[in-house]
Parts: sequence; C-alpha cells; structure tokens
Amino acid sequence: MATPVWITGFEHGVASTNGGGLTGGIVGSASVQGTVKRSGNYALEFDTTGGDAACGFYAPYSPPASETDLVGRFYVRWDTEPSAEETFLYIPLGIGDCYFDYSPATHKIGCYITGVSITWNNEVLSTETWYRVDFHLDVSSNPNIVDFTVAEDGQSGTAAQHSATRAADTLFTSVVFRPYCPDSNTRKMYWDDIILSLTPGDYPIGAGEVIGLSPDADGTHNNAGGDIQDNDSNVIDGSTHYAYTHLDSVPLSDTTDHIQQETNDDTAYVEVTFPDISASSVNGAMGVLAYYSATAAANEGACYTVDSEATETAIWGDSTTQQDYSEETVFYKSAVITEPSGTWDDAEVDALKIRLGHSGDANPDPYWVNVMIEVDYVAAGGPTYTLECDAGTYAITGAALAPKHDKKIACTAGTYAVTGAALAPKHNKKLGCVAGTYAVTGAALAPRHDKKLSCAAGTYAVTGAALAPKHHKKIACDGGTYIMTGAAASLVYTEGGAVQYGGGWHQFQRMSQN
Amino acid sequence: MPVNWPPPTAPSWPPPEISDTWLSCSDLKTLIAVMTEAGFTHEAPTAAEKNLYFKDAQCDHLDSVKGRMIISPDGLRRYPFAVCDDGNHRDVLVLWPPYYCGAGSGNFIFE
Repeated sequence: MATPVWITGFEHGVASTNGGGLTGGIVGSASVQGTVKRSGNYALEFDTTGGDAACGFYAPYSPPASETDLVGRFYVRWDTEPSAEETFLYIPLGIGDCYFDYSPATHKIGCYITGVSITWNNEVLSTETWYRVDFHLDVSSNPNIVDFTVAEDGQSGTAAQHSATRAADTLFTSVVFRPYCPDSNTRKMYWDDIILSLTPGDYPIGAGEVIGLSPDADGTHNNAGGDIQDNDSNVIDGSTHYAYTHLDSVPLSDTTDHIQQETNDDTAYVEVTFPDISASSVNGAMGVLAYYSATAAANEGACYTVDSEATETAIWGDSTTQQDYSEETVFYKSAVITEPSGTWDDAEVDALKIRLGHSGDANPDPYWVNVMIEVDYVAAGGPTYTLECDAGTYAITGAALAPKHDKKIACTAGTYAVTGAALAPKHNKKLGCVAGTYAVTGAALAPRHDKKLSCAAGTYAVTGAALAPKHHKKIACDGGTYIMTGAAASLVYTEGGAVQYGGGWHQFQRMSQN
Repeated sequence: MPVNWPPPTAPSWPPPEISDTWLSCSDLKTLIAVMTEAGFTHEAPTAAEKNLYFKDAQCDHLDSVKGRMIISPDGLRRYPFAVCDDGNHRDVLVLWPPYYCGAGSGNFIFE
C-alpha cells in the first residue's frame, strides 16, 4: 500500500489520549480490552449496556485539508445491537460529513453524505460475528462517491456505492469511531484490525490482521560511553544488560521497567530487533512508543525505526531531529513506517529495528518505557475465505481454463468425471495430470496441492453428486468454456472469491446458474 | 505537572451533554471539534475569568498561559482551557488527568 496513515489492532493494549499517538479522543465507555478480539491480543470495545450511552474513539490522524480521498478497512461486530439506527463511523468533511449507520431493524450497514438519502449495503449482519468493512470515500468531484463492501469475516462480501450529488469537498478532521452523543440507545460493539490510507487504488484493502511485535533481542548499539542505561543504572551493552527486556511489556502502559539516557550524547543510541513473521502479504506497519521523563523540565530524545535500506521513520524524534520527552506520566507516540523502496513483505518487516537515545539534553533523563511495531498483514496459509455455490449447473465458455490454487483442493466423497480435450493441471508439489479424460469414482477424493493448479485450453465438464473444492487463495480462469454439472457444487475460494476470466478479475458471491 | 491547575472552581468534567463518565482529547483541535459538534461554543475569557482561572496558572514547563472558555449549549457552564505562552512548547492545560496534553498540543488557531 502506498500511503497508509493509521494501522492498529489496538495491540498496544492502551486507551489513552496522552501524547496523541494512540487516539485523538476518547468519549465515554470506549476501552481497549483483551477478551473479545478478532486477531492479536486486544480490540476496542464500546459497552454502554451498563449506563452512560456515550462512546467514541478518534483516529490519531487528521488528514491535510486538501485531501479528497480516504480508503479504509476495519472489522466490527455487535454483540448487543442498538435499539434504533445510529451512526457508528463518522468522517467529517469540509462542508458536509460522511456517515456509516447500522440499522438493527434490517441488520444492515448503510452510508450517506450530508443531505443525501442513505444507501444500504445488502449484507445482513448477525450479532457476535466479525464483519469486514472496506470503504473508499471520494469527494474530489461532483458527485461524491463512497464505495463500501461489507463482508462476514472470511467471506467475499457485498459491495455497494453511495453517490451524492454535491460539490467537491475535502476531508476535514479525524475519522471518528462512535456514536458518542448520549441517547436512549445502548450497544455493545467491538472494533479490530483497522487501516486507513489516502491512496484511492488501495480500495478494497481486503482481509488482513494486525499483530503487535514486541522487541525480542538487542541489535547493534552505539553506547560505548555508557550514556544509555536501564532503570537500575546498568549500562546497556547488549551482552550482559539488554535493552529489549525493558521495552517489551504489553500493554505499553506497564512502567515496571524502562531504559533511560543518563548523560548528554546526541549520537548515542541502543537498538532492538523484533520477531520474524510469516506473511503472504503485508499492508503496512506502524511503530508505537510509550515514554516519560524523570521530571517535567524540558529535555530531548529520539525513537525511530530503521529499515533494510537504513531509512529512518521518526516515531518521536530521529537521529538528526530530537523531540521533547518531558512528561511526568506515560505519553504515547506512533508513526506509520515508510514503505521500503521495493514493497512490504515479511522480509522487510523482519529487517525493521527501533533505535532509542540521541539525547543532547538528558537532564532530566528521558525514559523509554515500551515500544511495539503493529503490522497489518495476511499470514502465510491464511486466513481462508469461502465462496459457496448452490447446487446446479454452471457454464463458463471460452477457450482456456487455468485455475490456480495457492494451497489445497479437497473434494468430498462422490463420483466425478472430468472430460475434455486436454487437462493439464500443474502443481508445484505433488500432483500432475496429463491431457486426457479422467473418471474418478469411489467414496472419497481428497487431493491436496501445495501451490498451483493450472489447466490448459479445452472444454471441461465436471459431473457428479458432489463437488466441493476448497481453495485458500485464487482461481484464475482464462476465457474459455467450463461446464460443471451435477447435483451440487460447492466451491470454496479465498481472497475475496476472485475469479479471473476473459482477461479480467471478477468478484462474486454466487455463480450464476444456467 | 501544571501549576495552579486545574482550577477548583471550574465546572466538573466531563460535560453531561457528551458523557457521564469520560471525555479526553489529545490536542486542542480535536477538543474543539468534539465540543462544537455537540453544540458547544467558545470565546475569550472575561476579565473575571482571566483573574479566576488563568492569572496564576502555569504549564509543566512553568510558562504562563492564555485562556479560552468553552460554553455549554444552554450557556450555563463555562469550561476553562489554556495554552502556554511558550512558542515552542504550546502545551494545552485541560480538565482531565494528567491535566495537560503535552508539547505542541495547543497548535490551533481559533476562528
């Protein structure tokens, strides 16, 4: 992704406005908790079932006034629905505003811009179930457009578009997760795995999860002068006394221990590294810092990430520009890490380091309490998304069929006949079939492929009582003729159920029936 | 911590129009956005309010402050907030713990 501006799964475990790194504002009963979450260890909760109906959480990001596009993805679930329709996501604009509402009457999510009737998405929600919402707000011209997709977690979902005939507008202030104004409604809802971007082409961001990486080792320090020490005044040397063991607490508000800079040296730093991840794709990463100081007098320090190309991203100060650390209670800063010149992948995430120090004014001592890198990614091998087709006969016509599977095909017991001029599936691992006609009969068929299946040009008919292939990733079909007949076909795809045929990618939930 | 802040005679926080339990913001810009959306207004303090709330207040860097009043929709409650005078520090003094928002949090111009 080109320009993510906020990434969080609330893996820092803290709801605090101190320093503005975690949120711009908290209203009422918004809290970060670890009981109900979609991924990682924490999620944001609005529970107003016990009293005060107010709740709200401001993204710690305020777009520049000239910005006209905002793309986002978040996961949301209602465990207790509100008693009436209410706004749950609010995006202030320069002239009007953009609202996402939830209706407990229809169990649907809708969107509208000030002065225009709401557009409802046809996805019907259930309680205690996570849903992914992707959106692209474009107010660059008349009409203003909001594309939004609502999907049960693991499904491809349903798309909708709201069009508002009104003049071009701009984004204004922070995205607000709410409602926060008291009313008679009570609700219990959760948010997790949020990412916002300014690049229109990022829509739909799609599935992903956010994990929090805490430091698990020391890197290479520049602390020969012994300027940077732990809270017991031991010099951090990376062999006897480590930095990472003092920076790895979660939630980040834990002040049990810290590292500190005792003497002035704006070149001194310590470096920590993070555990490796295994990802099939990475959307972005954000560094998070918790800090304070020995007293309130002005001082300075730095905390920044360093990537594989030695590019720095300041979380709060960097190697050349330091920042004030003079808070007497824990404050928080965050920064989306600059994407490497190639693109994000797990190797680039694995290469990330955080450096702390660089204080040319260490009186009072700046304290670095905890650090974390939140990563939005799709784990290797998952998650799995399903696309289900009703029983029936489906025909796709054309000259070629080239399905590609990243992981597995599993067929339930049944009788299958595959006929046609050519069948040449190619697998990276274990299964390869040459051209010909195949009949597979018996009680069970469960081929499993590690990587890909591709079929050459031809006509294929799949008949039988049951067909239930399961794919973890993609099926790409060239233009061609495809016939699957039988009593039941239940295809299970991943990654949005994307099917490519005729030279383009098409997303669908149900295949059309002949 | 700020000196002579929060004022003991300020209305209790948070305002009941918004929440019975909690309202905090990271900076003055967000605070004004939240309050104005809920129908609050803001204006310069009166001479009496300057004397009551802001004359002796200092930020945690011991800078003097300038005040601003945020007024409830019914006009009955006037909440004091302050920004320190130091052009680099620009800390906002607020009515919820820890009663300040930190360096740069007051970088906002009232319209």
